[in-house]
Amino acid sequence: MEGLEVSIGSLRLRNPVLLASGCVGYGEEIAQFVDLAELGGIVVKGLYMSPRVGNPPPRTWETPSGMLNSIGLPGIGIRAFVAEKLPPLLERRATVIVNVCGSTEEEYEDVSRVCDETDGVHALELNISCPNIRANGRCPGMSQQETYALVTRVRRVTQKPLVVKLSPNVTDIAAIAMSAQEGGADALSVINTVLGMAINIETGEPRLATGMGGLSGPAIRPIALRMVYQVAQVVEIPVIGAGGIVEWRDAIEFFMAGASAVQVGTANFVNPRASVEILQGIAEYLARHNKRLPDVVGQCRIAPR
Amino acid sequence: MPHYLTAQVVSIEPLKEYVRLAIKAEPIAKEMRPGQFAMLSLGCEPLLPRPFSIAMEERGVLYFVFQSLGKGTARLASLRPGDSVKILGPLGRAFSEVTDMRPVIVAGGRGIAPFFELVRRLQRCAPVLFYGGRTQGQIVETGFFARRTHEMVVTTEDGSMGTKGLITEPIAAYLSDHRPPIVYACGPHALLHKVADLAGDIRTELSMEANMACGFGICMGCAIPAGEAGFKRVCVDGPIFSSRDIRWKDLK
Repeated sequence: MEGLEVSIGSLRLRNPVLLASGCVGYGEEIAQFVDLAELGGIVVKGLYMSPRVGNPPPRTWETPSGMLNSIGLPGIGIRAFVAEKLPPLLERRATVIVNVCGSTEEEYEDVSRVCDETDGVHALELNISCPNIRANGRCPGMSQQETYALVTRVRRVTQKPLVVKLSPNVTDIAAIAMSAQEGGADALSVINTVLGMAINIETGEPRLATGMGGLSGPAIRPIALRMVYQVAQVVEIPVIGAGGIVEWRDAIEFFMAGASAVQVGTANFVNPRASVEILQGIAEYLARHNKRLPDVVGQCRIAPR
Repeated sequence: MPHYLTAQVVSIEPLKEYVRLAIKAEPIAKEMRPGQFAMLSLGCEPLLPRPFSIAMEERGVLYFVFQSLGKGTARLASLRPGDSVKILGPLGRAFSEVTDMRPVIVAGGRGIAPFFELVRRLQRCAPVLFYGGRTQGQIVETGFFARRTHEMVVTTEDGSMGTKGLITEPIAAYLSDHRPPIVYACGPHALLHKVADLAGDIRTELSMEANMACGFGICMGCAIPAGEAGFKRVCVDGPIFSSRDIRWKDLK
C-alpha cells in the first residue's frame, strides 16, 4: 500500500494502521492471518521487568457491542520478550512498539531502558492506563501530576519515539494529554478501555473475578472518538486513535476527529484479518475521494458555541 | 494452521435438547483432528464468535452439536441451509489417538460433541463409552455410538434412559477392575474432576471449557489454572489437557 506513510515523532510508519496492545499478544498468533510487514506496526502486550501470571478467571465477559476484560497484564517480562519474541517479529519485518508497564516509576524506567538499548524496538508506548491492576481501576493516567512525573522520568532514559496511552476514566482528558505532552511525549494513544462492570443476577456476583474490568469494542467507539477530538484540539503532537474500530469507516471517523493513525484491538478477536481489511478500505476511500491522509486528519470541526 | 472462512450452512436440525449444524468448510475439515474446535460468528451482534467442538467431518462438511443457551447460540440455532457463517478453525490441541485396545471415553451431556469423530477414528480399538445426562433429552445418537464401541453405558439422573444415577458410578466400577490405556472425558468441570480422581495414574485427557473472546491465543481471556503456577490458555494450550496439568483446587 503506497502513499500512506505516517510520522509519529521520529517514527516513520508504513501506514496508519497498528495492532493494539493487549489484543495481539506478541504477534505470533495473528501472523498466521496477516502479514505484519503490511501493517503500520504492532504494539505488543504490555511488559514489565518480571514475568507475571495475570488475574484469575473469569477474565472476560461479553456485553452489548463490546466486552469487559480483566486480564491483568500476564507476560513473560521484557528480557524474555527481547530474547525470544522480538527476533521472529523482526524477521517478519514488523514495526515493533513495546507497551511499557511498571509497578513503580523505577520499573517503568527499567523497562524503558531495555527498550532503548534494544535495536529492534522501534518505539515505546507508555501504559499509564491499564484499569485492571489496582483497586477501582486506579492508574497513573488518572492524574495530571502522576502522568507528568512518569512521562518525564521515562523521557530521560530514551530518545526513541515515546507514545503515551491515555485512560478514558478521567474528567478532563485534554488536561491529562497536555501533561503528557509537557512531560515529553512524542504522541498519544487515545484511549485505553473504559472501566466497567457486569453482575450475574442469579448469584449477585460480579462477572469478572476482579469485579471491574475494561470495556472495549464498538460500545466505546463514540467515547473514544469524542476523546480523540478533544485531545487533538489541544496538543501539538500526533494522536493515535483507538477504541472500537472494527471497519475502515470507523478509522476514517477517527482521522477526521484528528487522529493521525489508528489502532485495531478487539476487532482482531472477531476477525483476525480486520486490520488489513481496514487498511485496504482506507486506501480505497482516499483514492475514491482523491485525497491524501493528511487532508482528512482533523477535517471535522465542531462550530464554536 | 487455522483457516478463517465464510462458509455455508448445509443443514441444521434439532437433536433432542441440542442442535446439529453442518457447515461446508473443506480446508478445516481436511485438517481437523478430534478434540479441536472452531469459532463460529454471524458478524457483529453478538460481537464475539462462539467456540464449539468439531463433532465430526465428512466430505468437507463439519458437524457441530451444541445447545442453544444464550444470545449467541440462539442466533446460530436459527440459521437456515444456505446461510453464511464466519468460521475460524481448526483450533487448539487435539486428543491423542491411541492404538491400544479399550480406551475409555466419558461424556457428560453436550460433552458428547468431540467424541463423534474420536470414536470413528478409535473404532478398531473397541472403545468403551460412558455417557451420562440429566435426562434422556441429553443422550443423542446412541445407535451411532453403540455401533462403534465395544460397550456403551448410559445413565440419566431421572432414569428416563439407561441406568438411573450418575455416570461416575459405573465408571468407578469399571476402573476398579480394568486398566484402560487412556481415559478421555468432556463435560461439566465437576464431572471431569471426578473422572480425573477415579482414573488415578491412568493417562487422562480432558476437554476443558472457558469463556473465550478470540479462540486463537491473542486475548488471554480463557485462562485456566494449570501447570505448577499461573494459568494456561484453553484455546491454544488446550482445550485438551492432561488431567495432571489442571490445578483443581484453583479451578472455580
